[in-house]
Amino acid sequence: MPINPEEQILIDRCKTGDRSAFDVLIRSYEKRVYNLAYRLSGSYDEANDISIDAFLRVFQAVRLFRGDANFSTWLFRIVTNVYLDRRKRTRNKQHLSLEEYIELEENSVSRQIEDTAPTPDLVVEGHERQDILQKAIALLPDYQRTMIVLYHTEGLSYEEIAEVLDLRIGTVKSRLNRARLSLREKLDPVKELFP
Amino acid sequence: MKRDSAKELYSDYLTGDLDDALKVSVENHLAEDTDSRTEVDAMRRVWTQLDAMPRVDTPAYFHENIMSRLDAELARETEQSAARTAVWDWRTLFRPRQLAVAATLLIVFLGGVEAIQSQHAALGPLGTIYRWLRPATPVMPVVTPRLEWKQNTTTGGTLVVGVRGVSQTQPVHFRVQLYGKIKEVENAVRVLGSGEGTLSAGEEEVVELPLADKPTDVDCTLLIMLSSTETPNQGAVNKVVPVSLQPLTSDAAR
Repeated sequence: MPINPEEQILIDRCKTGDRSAFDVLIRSYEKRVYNLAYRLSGSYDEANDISIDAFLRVFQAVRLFRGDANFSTWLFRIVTNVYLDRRKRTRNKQHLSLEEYIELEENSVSRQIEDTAPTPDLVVEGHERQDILQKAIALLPDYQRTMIVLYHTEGLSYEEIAEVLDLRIGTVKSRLNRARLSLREKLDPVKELFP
Repeated sequence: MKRDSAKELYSDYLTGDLDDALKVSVENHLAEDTDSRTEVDAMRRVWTQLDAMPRVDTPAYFHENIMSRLDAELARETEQSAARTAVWDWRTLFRPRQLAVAATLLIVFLGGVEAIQSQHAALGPLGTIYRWLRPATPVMPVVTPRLEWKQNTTTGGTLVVGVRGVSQTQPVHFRVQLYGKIKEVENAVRVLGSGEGTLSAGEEEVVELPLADKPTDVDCTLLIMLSSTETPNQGAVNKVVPVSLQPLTSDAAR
């Protein structure tokens, strides 16, 4: 998808360190970035921090943006990386036990956090359906969660997700399928809420 | 189709990305397997809910917070840059890294100039620096000594050594020394006579050595030592030319 000419001008100005251009540029993306950060982290406060960190990274790295991909795809990649970096730091700080497993799909190998959170049936009562869904998403391993959020809540295509996560489309499809199955299993105890 | 195999296709089945053959296979499987059908239906419902998840609003002053953080970051970078500039002074050149870089550059420079194998003058100012850092070794001339023995009327005589340099481009200092063997001590010599001068292109310089006896190759050794400095004893002798005294004997015989 070609970049909007106005957006291209803004990006070019940002590359020269133009603060006002950056001001305009982030206004058009801040809500999407915040939502992506929120759906990934499941926390408003953390979404705020992730968004700010991501925009600072964008400002520092915008000179490196070549325009090969959409700016939004590039931006989402940065947001996702900020989120994953923070998760990694948090895991290290909390010394959580990590479970390493091999995902036998197209020879990819992933390290994922062990799911130690309470099962969905313990958090059902008193919550709205959307909250339950958000909590179920939060129970997924990072890369499955990222797949679900990018595809379903941000509406990215397989191709765009492949660019954001630097994966092949086949890998995206198979991981997304597995993430959906996993999410459905998490919601199984409260399936009556999803008629 | 087995249940596990079918499971891998549910996403593509729900998005309509399966080709017709696979789609029919999955549908046949779902028609036969109640549990699988239930799973697909549940997946579809969750999917619908996922797509309907609402957007959340950004917090108050979200944009302002981003910009103020950006401004703070820019200010911090400016301060750091200014601090780096302020602390730079000539002592920076003597830090280990800077010294290492300078030494490396000098080695590369000298190596490069050496490799060029050309007239240093052609290098212009670089050649001047190079000559200053590494003076050129002068090319020592080929000497053609002329020997003559002048017998005194009473006793002894004078050995005349005429030295002419060939092909030298700059004045060269020379020293003529005649050594005589000491008969009483094996492999010991003493200086019987010496003289020195400066060779200029095309001119003969003459050194006269007063001696008690006419020298021969059996008893004596005549050496001409060439050097680029006028004080060869303090510097290195660049070339030593042994001279045979045989012509002198022949002259005497004649």
